[in-house]
Amino acid sequence: MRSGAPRVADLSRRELAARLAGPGLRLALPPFVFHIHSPLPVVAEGIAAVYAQHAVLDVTDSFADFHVSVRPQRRWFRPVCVFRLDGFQPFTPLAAGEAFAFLEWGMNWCITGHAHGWLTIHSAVLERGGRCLLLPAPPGSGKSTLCASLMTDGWRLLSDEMALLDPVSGLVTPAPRPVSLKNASIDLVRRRVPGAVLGPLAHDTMKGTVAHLRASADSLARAHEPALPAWVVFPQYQAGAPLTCTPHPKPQALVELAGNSFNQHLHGRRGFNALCDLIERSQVFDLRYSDLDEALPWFRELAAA
Amino acid sequence: MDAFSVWPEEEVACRRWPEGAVFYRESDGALFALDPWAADCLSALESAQHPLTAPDLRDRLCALAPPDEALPDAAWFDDLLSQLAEQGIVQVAHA
Repeated sequence: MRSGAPRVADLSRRELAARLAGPGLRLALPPFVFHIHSPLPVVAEGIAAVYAQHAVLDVTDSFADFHVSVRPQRRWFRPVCVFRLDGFQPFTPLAAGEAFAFLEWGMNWCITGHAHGWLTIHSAVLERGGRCLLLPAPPGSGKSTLCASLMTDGWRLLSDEMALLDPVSGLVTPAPRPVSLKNASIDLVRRRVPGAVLGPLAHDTMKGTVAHLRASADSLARAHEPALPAWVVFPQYQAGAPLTCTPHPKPQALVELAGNSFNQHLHGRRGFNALCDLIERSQVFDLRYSDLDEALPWFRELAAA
Repeated sequence: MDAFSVWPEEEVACRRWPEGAVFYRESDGALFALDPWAADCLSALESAQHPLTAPDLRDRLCALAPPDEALPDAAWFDDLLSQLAEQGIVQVAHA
């Protein structure tokens, strides 16, 4: 975090809402800066909850990578909201109640669609003991629930959504933002993590009910420390299944990681080599689990080995 | 009968592991994962330094394989090489 700059928590709720509705809020979300406009109360509520510890930058003295807005388009009959980047509307409108989740998804899109200095991979990333763990997985695999649980079990969150891999150094750059929880995992995390701070619930989204969990203080404090990958684990939640872990063949892992990359094609041979190096230096596993109380000790042992 | 050789490094990059290999085709960025057998065939083709027909390739692998290992017949190698040529991993050097 930038020392000296006020944090979101330093602004009163009224001041935060006024900035969002007026000149915009310039928010440091390392390694990016977003300039956000929105008159919608649920957006202010979400930012106050899950970005409380993030720095607010002076508009006249900083550069914003992305200028985004979430604005109402129809206020009275089934109100909807629209996400824009630099005035461009990349998505169809969503229900106004989804505005904060829409902002989160829109910001993810800004990064994966534009930050091509990195090779971006759809994956959760966490770090422990200086080494980082990638959890690439399709929706429904329990990735975010596992990611949230690991974050509260001593792992540092680098990202719930994307690995920002430097194709030259092989390091993953942290981009710690809230963890997106869906449906039953929202209550699960509430039960397991006393004091967990969640943003507003968005009901009836395409993914069901969605809420965002604030990143841990340690993750934010160390948001400028990249880490070298050491493990790639493909998780699969399966109700009632005993914990099983099997080595994942590296050639297949490489092809799957490339398939999870948003921009591998733009990096050409350098991107291929970066993915090869990542796989080469990592232990790669398939992990099937149903019980977090079994899975978390397995990850602790992995990190301790 | 066709003879095959590997593309030069500038056209096709490769990374090998004991479990197999992955090839990267420069022209369109496509990736291909090959099982260890196919990866061994590619290694033999590379080390030959001149184009090989399917029977040539089989002979070379026979020389490297343990005595009790039964190798597929030459038609199998012909089929494999044709597939690899279609994928752009090897080139048909001459017929």
